[in-house]
Amino acid sequence: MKGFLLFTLLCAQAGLSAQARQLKGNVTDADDGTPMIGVTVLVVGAGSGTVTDLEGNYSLEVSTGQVLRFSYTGYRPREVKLANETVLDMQLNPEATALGEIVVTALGIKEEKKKLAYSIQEVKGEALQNTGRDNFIVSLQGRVAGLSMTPTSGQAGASVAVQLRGPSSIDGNNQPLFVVDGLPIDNRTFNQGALVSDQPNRANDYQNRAGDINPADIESITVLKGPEAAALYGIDASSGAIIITTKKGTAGKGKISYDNLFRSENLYRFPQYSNEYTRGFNGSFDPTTSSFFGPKLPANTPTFDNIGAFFRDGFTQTHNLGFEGGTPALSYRLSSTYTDQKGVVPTNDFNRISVRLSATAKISDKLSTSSSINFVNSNTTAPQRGANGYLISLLSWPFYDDASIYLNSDGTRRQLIQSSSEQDNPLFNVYANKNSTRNKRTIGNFSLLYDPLRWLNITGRIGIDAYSTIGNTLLHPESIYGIAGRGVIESYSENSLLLNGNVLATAKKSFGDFKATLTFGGSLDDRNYEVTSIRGEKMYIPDYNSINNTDPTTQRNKLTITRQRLLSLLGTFDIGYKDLLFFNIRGRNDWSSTLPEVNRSFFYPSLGLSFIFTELPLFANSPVISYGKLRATLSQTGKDAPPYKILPALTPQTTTGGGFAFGFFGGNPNLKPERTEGYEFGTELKLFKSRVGIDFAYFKNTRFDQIVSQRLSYGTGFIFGLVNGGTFSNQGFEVQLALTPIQKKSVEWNLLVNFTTFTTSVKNLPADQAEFYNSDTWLFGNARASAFVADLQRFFPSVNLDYNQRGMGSATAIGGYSYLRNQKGEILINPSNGLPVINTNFLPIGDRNPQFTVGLTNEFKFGNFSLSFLLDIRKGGDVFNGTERFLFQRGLSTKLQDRSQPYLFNGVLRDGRENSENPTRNTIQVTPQTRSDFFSAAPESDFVEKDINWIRLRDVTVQYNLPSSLLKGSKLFKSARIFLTGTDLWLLTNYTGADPNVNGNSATTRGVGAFGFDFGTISLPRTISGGIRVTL
Amino acid sequence: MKHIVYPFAFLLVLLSSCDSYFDINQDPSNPQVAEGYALLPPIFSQMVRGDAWDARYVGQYVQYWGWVSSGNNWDRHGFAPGSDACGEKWRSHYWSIGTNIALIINDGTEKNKWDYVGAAKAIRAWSWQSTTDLHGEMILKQSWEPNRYVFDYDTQKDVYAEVVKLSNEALADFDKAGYSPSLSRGDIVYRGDVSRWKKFIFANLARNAHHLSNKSGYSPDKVIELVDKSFASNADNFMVPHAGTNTGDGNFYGPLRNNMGSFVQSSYIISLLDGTTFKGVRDPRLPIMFTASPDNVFRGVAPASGDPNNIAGRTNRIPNLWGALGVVPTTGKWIFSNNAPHAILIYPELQFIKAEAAFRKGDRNLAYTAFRTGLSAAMDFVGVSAANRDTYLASAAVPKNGTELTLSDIMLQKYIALYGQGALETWVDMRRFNYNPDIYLGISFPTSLYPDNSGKFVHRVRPRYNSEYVWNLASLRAIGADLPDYHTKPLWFSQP
Repeated sequence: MKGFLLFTLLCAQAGLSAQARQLKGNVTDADDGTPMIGVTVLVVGAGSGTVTDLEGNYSLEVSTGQVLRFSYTGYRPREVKLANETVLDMQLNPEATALGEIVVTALGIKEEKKKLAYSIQEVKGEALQNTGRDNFIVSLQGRVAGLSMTPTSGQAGASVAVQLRGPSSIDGNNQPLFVVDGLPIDNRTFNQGALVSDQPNRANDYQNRAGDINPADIESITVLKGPEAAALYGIDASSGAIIITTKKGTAGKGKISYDNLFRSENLYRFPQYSNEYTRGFNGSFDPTTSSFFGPKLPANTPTFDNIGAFFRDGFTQTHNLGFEGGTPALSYRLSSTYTDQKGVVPTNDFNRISVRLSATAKISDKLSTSSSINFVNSNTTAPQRGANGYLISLLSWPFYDDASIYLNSDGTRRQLIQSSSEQDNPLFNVYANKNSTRNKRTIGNFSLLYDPLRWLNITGRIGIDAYSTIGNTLLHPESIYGIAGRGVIESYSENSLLLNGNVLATAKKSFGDFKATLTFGGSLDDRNYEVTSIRGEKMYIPDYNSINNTDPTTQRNKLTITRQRLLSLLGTFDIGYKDLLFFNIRGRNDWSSTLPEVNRSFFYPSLGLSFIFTELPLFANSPVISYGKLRATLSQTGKDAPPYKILPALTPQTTTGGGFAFGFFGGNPNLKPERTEGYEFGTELKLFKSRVGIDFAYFKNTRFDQIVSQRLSYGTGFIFGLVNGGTFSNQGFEVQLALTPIQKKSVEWNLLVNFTTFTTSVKNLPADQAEFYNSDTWLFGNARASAFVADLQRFFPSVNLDYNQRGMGSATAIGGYSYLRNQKGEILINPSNGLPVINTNFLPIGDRNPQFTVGLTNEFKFGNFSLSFLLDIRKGGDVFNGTERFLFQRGLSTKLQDRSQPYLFNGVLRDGRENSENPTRNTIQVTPQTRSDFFSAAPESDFVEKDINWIRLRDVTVQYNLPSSLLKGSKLFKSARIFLTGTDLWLLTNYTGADPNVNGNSATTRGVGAFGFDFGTISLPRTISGGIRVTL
Repeated sequence: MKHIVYPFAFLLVLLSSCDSYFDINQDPSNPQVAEGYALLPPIFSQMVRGDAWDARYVGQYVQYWGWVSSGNNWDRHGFAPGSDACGEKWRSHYWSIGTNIALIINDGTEKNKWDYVGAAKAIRAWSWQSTTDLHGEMILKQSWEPNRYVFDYDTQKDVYAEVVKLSNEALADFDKAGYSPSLSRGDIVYRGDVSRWKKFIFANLARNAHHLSNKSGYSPDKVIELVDKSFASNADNFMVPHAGTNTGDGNFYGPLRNNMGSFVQSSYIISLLDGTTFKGVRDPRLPIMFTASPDNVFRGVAPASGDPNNIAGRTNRIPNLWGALGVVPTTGKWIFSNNAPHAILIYPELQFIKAEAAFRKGDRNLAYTAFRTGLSAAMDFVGVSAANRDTYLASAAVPKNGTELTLSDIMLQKYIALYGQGALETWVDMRRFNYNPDIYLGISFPTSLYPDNSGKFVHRVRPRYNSEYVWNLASLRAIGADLPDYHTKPLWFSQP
């Protein structure tokens, strides 16, 4: 019956005026036409009202002239002055701006936003689902200020790396914590270090596990960006937290919903290459070399568009079927999704089945439970990329030969050079070499909410996140990658189990104008991770993909196990004075199994203050500003070490007598956790009746005592020592602007702008080094992702560093070779060949951090149509164009088309007089046509493209809701919607390569990562998709 | 009351078991603690690795062999800048032997396995001795300290004292009462024979004392006493076996691992064996150790000159150390074969030490006895037949008594006895005598030395580049090791 939501008031007899009558009506959601239950219908001023029932109907005694107010949490309230009607239907619009009243914060607690002393941003699940992307993380770019997302590549099933407010650790995990319904889930990306072959995560990419979450199941996402996330979620959230709330069933009549999506994708941006010169060296034709330094191609020679012929149009279809319903005591939601994606690269495909059942039950007045179980099965086939991959071999295949003919008539690999070092034909590479993963995952989440007393709530949650993956790679015996081993098969079996749980007791009490909340709780995380990898060589049958098909004497295997446990206790105290001032203090103590016993426990607090100045009488009736808050937060957090680092590990030896000896990596029995201290202050304003919303946040986070495995003197007893050290800070600000320029009954225009800018500044590095880098990122030539100290000159006292200022003192720098210069800054030339001398020190040659990024979302609603699009804008930031360097060194670059012109390097000869008053100016001319060593003369610094800007049209969606009048006749359909979406449709950039927003490694690389390194990676394809959504 | 106490008691129990709950930070797939018998075998291989890898270059300094083409930097008493070449002993001492030794000592001390502790200390003492003889100053007091990244250098005198200290501790450990011996289970060299380990320790101490022959405090008696307590015959030699089946367990000098292809026997060693130096008497070791050119003449390369006839078909082309002409054969010969053991320390060397000590003391008779014993044992070691050996001993090449004996006789025969794997010890000798051509008869030196030497001979090897020059440069600067001619600075032991 009606009595479940406790807001029933009695009509006052005295309030009845003349012409009192029964009014009834139906309230629906303006977006999809579904009936809304529990909407408050209030007669303004009369103190009478009611709520809508299970079908959205209400019935109320009213009289003419009264004003009726319809309100519901999360929706904009509507008021209607009554005339003589007896039936009044109403549609309510959800709160469109991101500055809603209630947000889901940590631990699944719904918090009133005004109490929060830090910047928090919410994204609706629907916005993400509308983009039609399979990995919802990609859709977050541009929608959240401070969030920077880098997809590893444009392939299907690619991993995605996320950073919130910049890097947070130079050698640790920089990814935020992903939380689903109050419990963290695993976001691991498989690391190839666990393979027998111990690869550096360049050629293969694996899905990051948070991408398993089905976008159709997401209700909303809240992003916590700074250390305050850790105060609530522990040290795993010291880089921030992305909190996902899934859709729950709503009580009411059962509803079936079905939606589908059909998407076509097409790659349209490619690196440019020259089609003028043939294979050869020093100007002479030689078909047996792989470089293109021969003579010009004779006119009228047919050329082939090998790139265009290789890539195909990708196609994806997704089907979602959902059931939900229930009674007030028990509601449920069952959703199932099937996705099948064929990517733009032949053989690249990805398919996923996700089934999720969630149920909420009210067991008694005081006890309720909410549980869900989600099963995901995903399979990916992903060809190799990077130096081994199809893009590089496509570019190096002679353009005057048809690359689509990749087999000889007898079925063997067609080679042009007949050398064992010849790169594969790209089609041969994707068809003969295999790489696939199959993953099955189950996430269970069970929670119990108990309200023993009116002012006390106890919530307990238990979660299980278990997945297993089987991965397999086959390198064909005729492929360049399989020739040495005569065919190599490597497979792995990965098993992960994450058990976690938390208990929270919250007490709320009011003392006059003061409202206090006290929370105590604890949480536990137990992770078990195991990988068994096996590798064999010398395949007996060339195509048979089974480890049994390899020579047993070549088979090697490797076992990797990691276990870690984390226990936390936390307490928070919030106190608010009226609605004016809020103060909170939080403290958390973590115990981590990965730190030595003496440093295992560490405590970190956080303080926050929030002042809502519009509650002051001064602002009571301001026509301009309806809500204004000033806020400030101070917080500390930490990070623990990866498991098993404290003690060094013994590895088996193959020398005579066998046995064990210590491996390369030293331990550290005194290792301390990493520490962060940060502050944030900002303001939130709502102006002009909430038509304009501004949220401004200024932050600074300083990170201390980074834990790094660093090469050191062997006096440590190891090749790599494990040390604490290094201090760097991120400083910047974010602005969110929410505008509603037009807000009428059937026309609405919302605009959301997210602006982010920050800089990183390195104070010192561990072991007092000049540079810190992760060797995974050293993927091509001599350029790598590094952090440099600001006072680099003291490490290189005699080197002129004037041309190496970009990236100095930055944690997001590119370190690499540059020109050797004299004291005046002139390039030194080698007198024996006229080519520049290269400075073989790793010095800063670029900084990948952008000056600022902007995400601009526009939403238009007119009647039943809605149109939204997202522009992603970036200014500044350098990118290392490794693909261009490869092309240049092969003679395929478009940068120097006329090789017959002699070239003179502008510099001085390195003849001993370079630093004198009269250095010898270079006069040695080099003609590239006959001097192919010209093309290896340029150092890596020449291939760093500086100040890369872009404007991307990321997502465009057009939707049409079939009007309810049309559907009323049909007994079957309750609502229906058609939509059309395009993603990554258009990119405007000054980058000369294909796509500047790619990653040279995958999301598993520790530390700041290889974003801004482009080598052999395809760009994001443009996609167009369409589909329908119906509820029955 | 009870209802309040029970939860607290439960909590207390919970909290006290907390520590063990977190005590899971040891890798289950790779052990982080192991028993001595599993740790010892790889250490032997690393002892060999350090010596063998670096002896390639030191062998050029002492002219055991030369590079097949002319102008090689090591032949010219130089080094390879920016590279880790000749830095392998540094790596073995601090890493592949160093930290594993500490683990054996800890494990042995805990479990009363004093034979393992003794063996471990003996090896470390040997490692300090042979590494400091190569490099001079080393990181001693701050070595293996955790959480440190700048390491100060200590003097060679300190290292020599540490060798003595560790050796004495090892001897005492072996003599501890009441432990049950278990060393045989990991000891692939002496099979657990503690008496031989003690002899090895004395052998090392003998070297330690004898290297100071130029100093006023040198005591020949002490040296002789130590030698007498060391090896009694070739049966006590410290030999590390090689299985020789694949590149992981084969001899570094063998053809399977293919590291010696560019080295060729030197003219100097040939001159010592073919009669040029020794009164026309051909040493029976010559055909066993080396191979003649196709025209049946034994030749070697002159210092830093390479083999100008290294062209296929030339009859005077010098074969490589495996006995083949320009190719890598499947089997080598002598110490250059795949399963040849590596000699760390041998009996003949000790006899020659005794001979030299006695000679310096003035006791010619004792010197002569030791000399003859050493020479005889050296020929046995190479595999000369008893008949050939005796013929040679009776020939004009060998002095007949103490009066005829010269220091040069002792040092030259020692030079031959230590050929190949003993290059490091030979270099100590040559530096003690400052490359004196009156001792090393017939020796000549490269006319064009490495440029940074400023005409001086090489006296030490710079510490390993990628450990010290990259990551510990400040400490090197403090001892002058960054100077371009640092490698020509004589070591402490050879100074008076």
